Amino acid sequence: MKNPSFDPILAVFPDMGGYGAYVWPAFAIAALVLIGLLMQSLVSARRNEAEAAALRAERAAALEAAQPREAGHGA
Amino acid sequence: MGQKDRNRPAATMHRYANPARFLRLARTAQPWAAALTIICLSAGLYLGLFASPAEYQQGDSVRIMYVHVPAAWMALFVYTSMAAASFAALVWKHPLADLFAKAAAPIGAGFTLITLATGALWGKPMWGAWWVWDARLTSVLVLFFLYLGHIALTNAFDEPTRGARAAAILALVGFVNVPIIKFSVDWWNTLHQPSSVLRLDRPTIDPSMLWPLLLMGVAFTGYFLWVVILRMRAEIAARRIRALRFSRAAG
Repeated sequence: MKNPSFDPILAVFPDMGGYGAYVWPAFAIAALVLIGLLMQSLVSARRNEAEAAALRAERAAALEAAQPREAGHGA
Repeated sequence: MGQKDRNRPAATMHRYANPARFLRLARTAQPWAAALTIICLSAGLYLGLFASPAEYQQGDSVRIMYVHVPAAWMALFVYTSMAAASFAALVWKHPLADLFAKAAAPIGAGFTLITLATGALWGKPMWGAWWVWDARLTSVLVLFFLYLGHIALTNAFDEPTRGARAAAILALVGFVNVPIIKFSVDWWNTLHQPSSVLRLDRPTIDPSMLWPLLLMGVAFTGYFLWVVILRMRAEIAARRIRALRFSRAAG
């Protein structure tokens, strides 16, 4: 063993020549902002598109019920 | 073919104004933007955090550059694109232009927030201060407030078109801040270092640091396209919901 005091956390997060306390938070803040914004955008796109599709289906069904068999009448 | 269109930029533009056409285009572009983001981000992070050298004066703190500088580029690029879209919205009444500006503003605000936060984390070990009130830092803070103002103004009116119009005027007026930010390090005394990439002559930065920087820049651009498409899709669907609810209420 070259390094007797092997710490798995320090191995994953090197101390960056003493600047680890500044470098890692910088990347963490960027990740937090970008991932948060992406997730919020994904969720609202999915939610809104599903609701719009449901409303359109509901309206189509209502129109169908109001005028039954219109297309079936003689040519 | 297209003879008339070529003479009128507005006509060419309006061919893409149809939301259905835009949505088809967006659905095709979205996975490519996502792939570009993930590939360039992985390569950029690997090179920036592990494979590139520490700087001879700043040590490893220079690695903050790989997120700080591309975020600052994006903060300016997104605002510039919003100003251009706002111009198109006001002059040609392009219906997707307002939509784009509304979708882009929160992303630009996010990039500006990252620029300010990572700048503070870089400033503390290098300058001995989290913040100084010099021209560069102050003008970027103003940019952040312009983004917040744009978001607030867009949502401030009951009628969405009035909010969009007010926000478009703010975006255009606020654009004077963009060249001020860019040239602030040349015009005024500052602790902030001048540009080493976007120069009139050639980059003064070493290729081992330029590559991760450019990869992160491409990744952030891909991210912006990806998220702006998602947000425009969400907004188009939201308008459709409003219209359908209105027609249901009307009869």
